Amino acid sequence: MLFYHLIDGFFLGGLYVTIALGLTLVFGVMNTVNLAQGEVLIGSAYLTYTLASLTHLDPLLCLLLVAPIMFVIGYLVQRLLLNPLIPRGQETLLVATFGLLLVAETLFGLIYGNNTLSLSASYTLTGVTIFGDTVRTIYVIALVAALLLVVGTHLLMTYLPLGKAIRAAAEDPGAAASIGINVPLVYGITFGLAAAISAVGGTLIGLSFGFGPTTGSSWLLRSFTVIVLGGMGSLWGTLLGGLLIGVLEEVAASVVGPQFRDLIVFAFLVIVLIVRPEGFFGQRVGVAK
Amino acid sequence: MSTVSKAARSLFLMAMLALSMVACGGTGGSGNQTIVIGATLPLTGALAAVGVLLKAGYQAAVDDINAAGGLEVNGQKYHVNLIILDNTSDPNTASNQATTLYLQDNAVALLGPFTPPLVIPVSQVAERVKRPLISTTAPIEAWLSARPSGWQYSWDVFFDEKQQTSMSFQVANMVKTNKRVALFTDNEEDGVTMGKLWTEEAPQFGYTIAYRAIFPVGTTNFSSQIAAAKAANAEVLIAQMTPPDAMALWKQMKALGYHPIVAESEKGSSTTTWMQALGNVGEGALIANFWSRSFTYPGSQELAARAEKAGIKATIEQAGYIMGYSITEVLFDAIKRADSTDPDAINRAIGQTNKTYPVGPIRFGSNHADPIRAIMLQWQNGDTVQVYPPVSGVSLEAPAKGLA
Amino acid sequence: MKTHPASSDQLAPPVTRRQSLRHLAPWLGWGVLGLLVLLAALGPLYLSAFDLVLAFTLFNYMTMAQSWNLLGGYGGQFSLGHSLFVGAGSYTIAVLLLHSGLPLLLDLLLSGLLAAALATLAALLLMRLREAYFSIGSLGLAMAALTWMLNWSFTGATSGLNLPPAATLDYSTLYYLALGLLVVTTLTIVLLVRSPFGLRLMAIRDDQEAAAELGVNSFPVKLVTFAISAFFVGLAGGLIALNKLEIEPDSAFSMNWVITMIIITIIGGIATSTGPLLGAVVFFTLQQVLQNSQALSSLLTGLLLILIIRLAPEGLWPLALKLGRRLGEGLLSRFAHSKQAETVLSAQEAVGGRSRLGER
Repeated sequence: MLFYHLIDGFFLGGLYVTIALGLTLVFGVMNTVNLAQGEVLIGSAYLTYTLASLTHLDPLLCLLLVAPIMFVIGYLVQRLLLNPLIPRGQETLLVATFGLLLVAETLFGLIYGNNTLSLSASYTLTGVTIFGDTVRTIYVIALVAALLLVVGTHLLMTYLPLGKAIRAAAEDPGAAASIGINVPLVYGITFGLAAAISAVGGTLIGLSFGFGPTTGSSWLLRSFTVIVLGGMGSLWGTLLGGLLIGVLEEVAASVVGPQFRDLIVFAFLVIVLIVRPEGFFGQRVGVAK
Repeated sequence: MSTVSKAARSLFLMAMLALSMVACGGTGGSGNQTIVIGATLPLTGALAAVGVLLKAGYQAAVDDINAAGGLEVNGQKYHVNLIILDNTSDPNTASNQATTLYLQDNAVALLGPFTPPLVIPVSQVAERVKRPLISTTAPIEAWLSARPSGWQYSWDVFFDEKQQTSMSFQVANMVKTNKRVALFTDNEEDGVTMGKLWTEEAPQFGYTIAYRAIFPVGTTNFSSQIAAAKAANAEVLIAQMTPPDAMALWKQMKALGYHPIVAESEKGSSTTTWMQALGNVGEGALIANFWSRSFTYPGSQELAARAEKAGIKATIEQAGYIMGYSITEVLFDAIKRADSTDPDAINRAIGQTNKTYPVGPIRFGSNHADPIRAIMLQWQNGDTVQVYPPVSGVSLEAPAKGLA
Repeated sequence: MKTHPASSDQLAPPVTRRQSLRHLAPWLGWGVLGLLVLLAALGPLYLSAFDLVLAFTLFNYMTMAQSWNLLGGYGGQFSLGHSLFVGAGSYTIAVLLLHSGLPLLLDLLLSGLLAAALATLAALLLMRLREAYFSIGSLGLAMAALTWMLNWSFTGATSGLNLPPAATLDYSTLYYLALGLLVVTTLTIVLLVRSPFGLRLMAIRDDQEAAAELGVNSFPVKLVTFAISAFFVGLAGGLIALNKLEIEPDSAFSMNWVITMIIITIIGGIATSTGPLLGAVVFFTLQQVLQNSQALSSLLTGLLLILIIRLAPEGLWPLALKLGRRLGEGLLSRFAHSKQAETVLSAQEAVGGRSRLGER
């Protein structure tokens, strides 16, 4: 049985990676804690829901359109709202993203109603046998998506000129600007990118579980745990952190009972912060130490 | 410190106080020939799906009495003014709104929200201001235990939960199973109370609780619990959990190949959202209720038809509407019987209720609760049908179709 | 605003008319303030029961926002975990009323003290963390406490606790308790931030390293601030339980409490002592006026928050002061063409106004 929890938690952890990656990117590059990350995820799920019910296409296929839309939304939010606030410090950004959270939550309720929705596809109702245990197919898809996203983002950051610009802007915006990098533009693209990545996470949430206007905050908390463990702002740390939280949750639930799952996860979050605020696994995007 | 700005500050404070006075200034709801009744309901948030049904039921009863010229008290016809506020499923807000309705709008009585987390704070307000409240909430046990000294002004109509839990096993007895039960409940007070009752009742019917899972509301991944239930070879599944959690559980049982023969989804499958979100997977789920189409209490069929017209199509949702309508009528009857708008007189009259309403006979015990009889419904072809007590033309589908 | 908060008198040349005004002003100010306190103290004489309940809630909002502001505004520690102290206060008073024979006022005091003790513990754990790390850590701690309470059978787990009916206070008593708490909280915090302790706190906020070089040890200052902030929030939590008579974890430890504190403080003016009072009035009025339309209410709150942080991040109170100063300048320049007016009014801002959110 314990082995089963390990396997299941590992695959579930893949899903956690996809929801936390956007948060870590925004923190790593712009030093912004995006309290509206949960709403970015759920908003993507709603968009996919609309598109899938209009076109009857597979939700994952809908991502081809939803991700670009989320990119544009993210880009605009950064350029119009967040960029001007950056010089005023981190709390200002907390408040602004919190305002976004309130507005988005209300809009979801007004547009889509308060019922729980979920995205349907054949693979959400099937399982895959791995080492003799059945794991939901959608978790396997999520893990593959997580690996692709992390590796893809890493390649982008390392080899493409855009990635180099992002890293330069993350390291020292002033210096980056002085060598001709358009920092506000780079920031906008980064937030857009984070939102597009989160579109994948949000759609996977919609497929795996359900979502309503207020479900975002619980995913925000989970994302926090993942990125704190992995090291806030670190790509590879998020990958490891996500997988580890998935395993920890499942093992903890089976050892001490599912009712203590959240308690253990939050206690773990606090302990990691106290013991090692920089996380266990990685360094911030672009910060070469 | 600058003195000028201090003066400015003081002036400002005064303006602030004036502003709050304006905000506080009660207009007072009761006009000459109007009687005010209030309700704080979850119209948005997690519990909204059922909140809107009660709202429609309350409103229909009030519309009817006003159409008939109003409520007659002491030889005078009163127009009934129903004020409904949305508490967003938040207990703190529910408590504040109940205070507003009683004290600012001068409501003589309140109709309740539902579920213990919302009803108990509102009941506490009713006791504090000494004005009646009639609510409908599961389980009665949890509501009663909130005030060991007894409720004075709060009244509750809901299932007899002991009968309800026995019924789960009586229904399971209608088909052949190995009598091993997997019990899933969240750690909310209704989950805790009901979980305890099922555990107590099971042996009397020859059932064993082979696996028991307790988890917090908002749990998303149930893989481990499902694997354990499967390993325990439980052919009967009983779950009491919120709709989002229950839907997640059902999807995952399907994906992981757990096929219980009997599957009951209390709370989770209480609205059509169940079928909308789950599609065919939701088919075959059982849920207890207090009303079905087979009921012929006076007015109940007509009300069902009205609900249908108002867009409330599923039987289980019409039940909520009819319950809302019925407890509003209980209140009206009490006001008429009291022949007064005095809250204390109305409160005493509520205690004397003894009549058959569209939802069934209602009569309160000395503990202010009226346990009504539960029946079992099953989701079949997108609607709920009564499977227990058996009615002609309907049979229990087993194994649960959606999970098979 | 870089003006030094020095006494304006030494700079002021004798302009007789204005000086006589200035001699009169403090008396006028104190008079109005006294009248106001008297008005509030006599509240139950002319307010309806419902007005008393509203005032009770408003006073508690003010107290909680004021306390959050001490840590979050003056201290620069943006706590997302203050709901923990509301819940701790509520639960302490409930447990004491149910299980001890202590008098009610002592129970109330203990609920504040327990919150302060918890805050001290939290401070020991979290005070090393800065900025976002502290925010997330405090949030994690509050969430851990909530999930613990959901499972703790001693406090009734998810069902929570019901206060004994004998503990039911009438609305005017509750009103006075909340008013008293508000006055004590505001006075304490106003005096504290103007004391050497407060100056050290703000020095640490603005630049911890520089403060350390000047010999300011940040840890005890932050610790005490955290404890005081939590103490008053805990007391408010106790009052809330006394009014509601029933508490359960999800509402006692609700994230909404800290969210409300932050919204109020930001709207009114962070790191000002009047800001939270003004913010509470604005927020509460919005809430009351729109209580028939919750969606509109939270939408407007969100938009207001975004607008304020984008356009007037220092909040409404400093904005009002600024506008008032312009107005005052205009008026004063008719009497005398000197720069003094500006000095006089801006001095206030330099003491209370926060440099960080607005100008960094």
